[in-house]
Amino acid sequence: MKQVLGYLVSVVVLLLLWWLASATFPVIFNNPLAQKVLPPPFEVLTMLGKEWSKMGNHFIASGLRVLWGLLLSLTFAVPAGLIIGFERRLNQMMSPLVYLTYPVPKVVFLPILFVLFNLEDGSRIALITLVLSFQILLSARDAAQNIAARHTLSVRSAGANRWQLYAHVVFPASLPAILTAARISIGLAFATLYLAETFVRPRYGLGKYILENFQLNGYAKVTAGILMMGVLGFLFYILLDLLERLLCRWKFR
Amino acid sequence: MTQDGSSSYIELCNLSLAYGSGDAQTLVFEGVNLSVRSGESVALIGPSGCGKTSILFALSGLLSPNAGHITVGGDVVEKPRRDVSLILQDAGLLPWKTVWQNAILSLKLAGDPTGHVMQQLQELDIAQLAHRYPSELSGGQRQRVGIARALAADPSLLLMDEPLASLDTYTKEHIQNLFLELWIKRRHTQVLVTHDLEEAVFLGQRIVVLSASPGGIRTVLDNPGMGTSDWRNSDAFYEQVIQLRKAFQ
Repeated sequence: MKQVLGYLVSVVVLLLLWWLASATFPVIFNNPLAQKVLPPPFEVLTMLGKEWSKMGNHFIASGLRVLWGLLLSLTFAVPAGLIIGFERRLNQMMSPLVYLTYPVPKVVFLPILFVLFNLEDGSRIALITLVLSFQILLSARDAAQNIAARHTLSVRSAGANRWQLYAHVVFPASLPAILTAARISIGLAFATLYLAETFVRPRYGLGKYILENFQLNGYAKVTAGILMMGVLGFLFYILLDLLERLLCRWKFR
Repeated sequence: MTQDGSSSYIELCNLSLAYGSGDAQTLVFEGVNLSVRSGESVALIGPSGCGKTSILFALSGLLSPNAGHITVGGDVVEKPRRDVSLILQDAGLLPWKTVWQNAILSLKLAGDPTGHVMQQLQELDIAQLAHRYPSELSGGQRQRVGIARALAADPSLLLMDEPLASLDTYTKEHIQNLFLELWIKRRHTQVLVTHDLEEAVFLGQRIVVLSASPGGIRTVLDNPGMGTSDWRNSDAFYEQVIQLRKAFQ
């Protein structure tokens, strides 16, 4: 209940800040467009109501791209990160490779991915997967590397084989760090999504909707699109939060 | 064979262990020979770094010695065995598993039935905590869960690595009494590693005093009064603690 109240208060504060910014931009910025670029909340929410049927398709398309990216990155990066982190020799071999490739901004692969996937949606999902995978892999690796010896000892002494050790210790011990990494990386995933939906425009997508309306000077629609992207990001935060509460109950006792 | 001629259940033969390799090698203990009878309770005591925990881990099959060998029940120990249970300091419970899930862990790993464990939890007075997580338990309750887990697979050898080191005096004595009751009832063989002289005298029929760097057996004290009625409050108990302190110094 307290959490819901906290969110409600935050929404009210954000609306107030938004309204304040839209009212003061024309005064602060000596620019004729400053009056139009950030419409007040009421105007944008009215526009959102009008555009709702169209916006729904864009919202769902963008949401599915991020969801697929998240699911694929968890599927590939979690096992890889856990094995690299827990198997010392593999860590020594793989860590230089990870460190060499980590600093390369993954968005530069977008043109290559578009070629590989024939400009289809797979390229956008692949890019989001790539961005999320590195964050999740590194967090899973670090978490698996730092598992308390007493936990592995107690399970090994009970006769666990390698697979059981991963199932009963390595995975559950690392799960909170993995979900935190996923949550932190969601912001990055949406930045990537915007790029991927504007570099080559799909039929539907919030990024495409925002950019197209920006080019038509439809600022109320642009802000409505930004607002929906924020809502989508918030839903992913909530989803990961619920997942953590469900899978890591022991942390919340 | 043991000193009194009875057949031994555990044999440590010329055991040596070193960590690292080459010039960086550190000898933890060397030339350790010890026999333990079936159903005997032995306490290992010694200064920090003398290798008492390493001896216990070698006994449980978690560590392989550099030289010598260990047999338990006539078989050379090469890996963890189902009839050997280890209780670690702070019980070594997994924070993400409930009391029940922790208690049945070894049975679940082996695919064995778990029906009898609830009765065991009841005997240890922790059945009502079955759905709680370790973070919701007191130190004494955690240690009881550790005991339940160790005994769930009905081990013939119980190894304990300073299991009560983090408990307050009252709880510690309470759990020591519980260890004694369980040992008298089950008559399993047990090896206890401890820093605590009184604990060694309370729970060890024989007390093995180890020397430091590299570790080795300094002396073995017989403790015939262990397990007798009101042993903890007897003059003989305090006399034995004094003897042990002398041997330890």
